[in-house]
Amino acid sequence: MSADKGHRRVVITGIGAVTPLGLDLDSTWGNLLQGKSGIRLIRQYGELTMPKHIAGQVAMEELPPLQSRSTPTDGATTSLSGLPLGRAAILALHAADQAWRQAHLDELPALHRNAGVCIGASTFPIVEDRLRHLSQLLDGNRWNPIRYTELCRQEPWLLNQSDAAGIASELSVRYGLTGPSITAQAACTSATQALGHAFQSIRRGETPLMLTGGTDSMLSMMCVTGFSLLGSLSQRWSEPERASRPFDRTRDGFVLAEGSAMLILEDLDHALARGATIHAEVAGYGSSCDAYRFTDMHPEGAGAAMAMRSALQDAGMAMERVGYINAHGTSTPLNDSTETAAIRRAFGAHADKLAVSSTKSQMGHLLCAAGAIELAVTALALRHGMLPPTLNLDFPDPACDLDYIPWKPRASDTTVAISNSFGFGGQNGCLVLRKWETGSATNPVAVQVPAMHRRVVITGLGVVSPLGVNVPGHRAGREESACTRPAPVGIAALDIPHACCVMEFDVGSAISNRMLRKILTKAASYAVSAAGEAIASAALERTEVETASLFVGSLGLDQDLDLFGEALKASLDAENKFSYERYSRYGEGLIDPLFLVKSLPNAGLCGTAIEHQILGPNLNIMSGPASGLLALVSAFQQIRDGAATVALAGGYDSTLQLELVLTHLLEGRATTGAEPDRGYVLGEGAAFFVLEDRAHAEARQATIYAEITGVAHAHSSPRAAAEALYQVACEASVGTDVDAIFGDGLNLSAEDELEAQTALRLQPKLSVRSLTRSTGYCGVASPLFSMLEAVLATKSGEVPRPLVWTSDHGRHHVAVALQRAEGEDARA
Amino acid sequence: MEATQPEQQPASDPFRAALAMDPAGVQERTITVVARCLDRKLSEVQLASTLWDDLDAESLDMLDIVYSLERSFVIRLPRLNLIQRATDLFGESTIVEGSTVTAKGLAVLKASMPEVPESFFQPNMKLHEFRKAVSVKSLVRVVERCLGANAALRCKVCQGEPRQVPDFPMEICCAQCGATMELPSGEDIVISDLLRVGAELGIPPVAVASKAAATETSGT
Ligand SMILES: [Zn+2]
Repeated sequence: MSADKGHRRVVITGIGAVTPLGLDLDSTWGNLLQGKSGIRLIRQYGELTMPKHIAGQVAMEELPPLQSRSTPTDGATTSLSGLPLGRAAILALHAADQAWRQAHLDELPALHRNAGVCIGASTFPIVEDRLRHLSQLLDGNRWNPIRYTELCRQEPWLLNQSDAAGIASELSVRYGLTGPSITAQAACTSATQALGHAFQSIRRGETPLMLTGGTDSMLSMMCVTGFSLLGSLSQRWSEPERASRPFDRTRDGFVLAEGSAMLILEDLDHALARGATIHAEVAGYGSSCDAYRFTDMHPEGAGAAMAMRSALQDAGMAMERVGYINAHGTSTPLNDSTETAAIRRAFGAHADKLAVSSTKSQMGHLLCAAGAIELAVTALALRHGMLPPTLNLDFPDPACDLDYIPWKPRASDTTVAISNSFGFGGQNGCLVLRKWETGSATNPVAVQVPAMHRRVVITGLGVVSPLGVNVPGHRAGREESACTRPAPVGIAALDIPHACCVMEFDVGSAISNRMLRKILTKAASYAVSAAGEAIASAALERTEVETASLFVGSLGLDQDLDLFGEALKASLDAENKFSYERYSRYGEGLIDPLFLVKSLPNAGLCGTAIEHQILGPNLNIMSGPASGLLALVSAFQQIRDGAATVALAGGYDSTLQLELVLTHLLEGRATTGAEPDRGYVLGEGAAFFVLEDRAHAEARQATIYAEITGVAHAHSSPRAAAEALYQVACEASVGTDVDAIFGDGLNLSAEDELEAQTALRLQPKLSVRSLTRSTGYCGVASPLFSMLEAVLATKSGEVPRPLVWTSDHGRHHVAVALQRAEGEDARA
Repeated sequence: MEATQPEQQPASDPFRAALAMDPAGVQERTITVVARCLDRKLSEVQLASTLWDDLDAESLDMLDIVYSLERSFVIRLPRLNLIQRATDLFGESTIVEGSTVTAKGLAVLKASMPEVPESFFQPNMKLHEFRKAVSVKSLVRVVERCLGANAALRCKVCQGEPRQVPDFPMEICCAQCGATMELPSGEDIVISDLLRVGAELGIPPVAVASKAAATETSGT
């Protein structure tokens, strides 16, 4: 991490796109200007096609074969693990290859640690793949765990198709990048969050180049069912090209779409030095949380307006300079009128002088990729001086009274534009782009250069673990192990006798918001509860909580397959085969209409924001088990750079869902009855921390548990894990001595050896401690339990300088160094 | 998951059991479902309680309530809101002007929601104000209307009465000859009721729009 505190400028030097309007950026842009629509009847699943559903689909069969990059992916569409890639991953690789080529990055020496990946992606089990085997998999209304295990043993690709976090890893390895590798998951705001995070990490000098964007393909039967049951989708399936009608009075819902856009963001000096072509400058980013309701936007668009205002402030730009807004504009009755109100709220009288359009009218809603393709389009609009239109705007809506560029593109010499994204759950994001012109490089930038690095301390702790449902309970429980608790029946059937379940968690007393109690999964409830304890223990003022930043690491998949059991059983025909006709007639209506909302991967973050009324900047990271520690790293960086004073950071997970149990079982990592002394017991939980600017904490006389002195994150292929872990350990501890390491302790020979050898290489006689033998392996929560352990040991003076690290399956390597806060000796 | 399980069914054929309920039973069960979906005590939910204001329901609650009522009574409730459906049938400009409901639109809504107090309907009401009228009583009316349609159902083959297919919650067949039968669609019921109201008020339907035509095909 660079110690240079100067303000860096960030530019776009490469763009790739695979969309319903074209297989590359040029054809997509050309079709946008010609007013073409990419919306058709869904045909992707052949005979499973819902005749009544429409979407923006990518003509996958027309994509050229992926070229080999002499990495383990070697040209074929297989993943690092050798299994076939899912549809969203293939789209992402194509878009990334285009961007990479356009930016001429192969002409540079290998970038390694000088570049990273940050993308938005979604996760969802693709039930279609299991339908052929349905009659064997179902026992009545329930999934049979034993037969499902057998199927996945024979066809392991079933489990990796929905591994969204794996896509960023594929990209990192494909281009030889070992810098940070992050997957942002904020529903429809995912890509904008990813772009914003990548932008910030270049601006603060962490890395000179990021491959960033988004990818999504949620057109599977269950995805369509999920959005359809929520009443979100347009019903105009008899006229697909007219269905997406943003801002039109007769709009009735959005149209799903798939696709990917990837952008190369680069430090301006880096780009100029290598003579790169610059498309546009990314000037600012703002994010906020509505903290209002899960699927209803705040009626006056307060959160959306706040995101726009803070993005402009971040860019140091007067709002009067904005000439174009690429709107979120989904074509749902609520979004478009609320977004209009939000634009008015943010821009006042200037709202009537700017142009707004929604390219979703032509492409549909690319969900987790929407923010990326829309930013790419906005960059081209500035570059070519041509604003894309809003199709299908026939009947004016009094509630949508801005200039939406109906039907025809418009020439414009505007130099500043913004792109909006708002997601289910209430996460809002906005990016500011500036046109790149001759002389732009020497233009003064009116952004306040960040002051000296701030010191960052921890002032609040909260936990829900198998050992206890708060910090005192967890500490008291540490002496005993939860690893001898009997597993639930479905897991025990797989010869996994034990499970570390959270005990005595009372959701009624932990969560006051009625809707949250209804829709949050157990794991997400733990997050809300642990976050609440952390806030309370930090004794923050109400307004400090309201403006705090919120960083959450979330589990990848929070879905109970049994939710669909009854519906799928009702869909079996006389021959015991899945019948789509029976599904649409009898099955679909048996599915809980809220299941999609209940399984949102950002439910923990949004639930925390709603319950505790946190409206500030936020990021949900979904990068596997390291996510929680990565959230903490991001929070640290924000405060260190003066971008925030107080942040809440943490994460949650449950590895006790059938799909996840199978992953751990089939990888030979979970402890079984046959091998009781090997591997780990599966568990669940959450932990949160309040991070604070040290000066702020001291001024309000807060209890300081520990100071964070260094952080580091690297991504590697599994083969290079030892070197990567050593590297992050060195970077985080910045050459000072470490007293103990709080690590993973998975009880697996290769992993334990990696930790022991790295510790030895770092410093002789350094011990690696782990709580895994007491808490079990709780996914995202486990490295946070290590963190909590280290913080408590620092506070008590037992370990003055601990290092916390995690190395998940040899991909993500994260380290955080702590030290005892000065003056604590006297107080202790 | 307990929260989304259907209500306890007293008989082995929940479809027939629901048809056999008296109005008081339908009211009681509707109130029970609403109370459970909104996490309220039974005593807090009255027939006259409005869902949005009195009971503080959100749009997600409405989905949950509709789903739970369908499961509980073995009926298919309409999904689209009444105004949307009315504009489809009678034409956009007949029912709304901008965001305001026209006089004809008001008359249609008034006649379609007989349980709503007369005083609720005022000239120049905004579109979004109408959901404030929806009460537990409104739900009971729609449930009873759907139950009525279920009761009137006869086998196309032998005129026999319907019963539930054992183990298949939303599937019915002829109790006499076993022929497959379909639960009447809530959308179709709303359309036919609106057309009747329109005829009474002298408001003709516009030429069957592509949307309405498509709905009819999906309903069969
Ligand atoms: Zn019959």
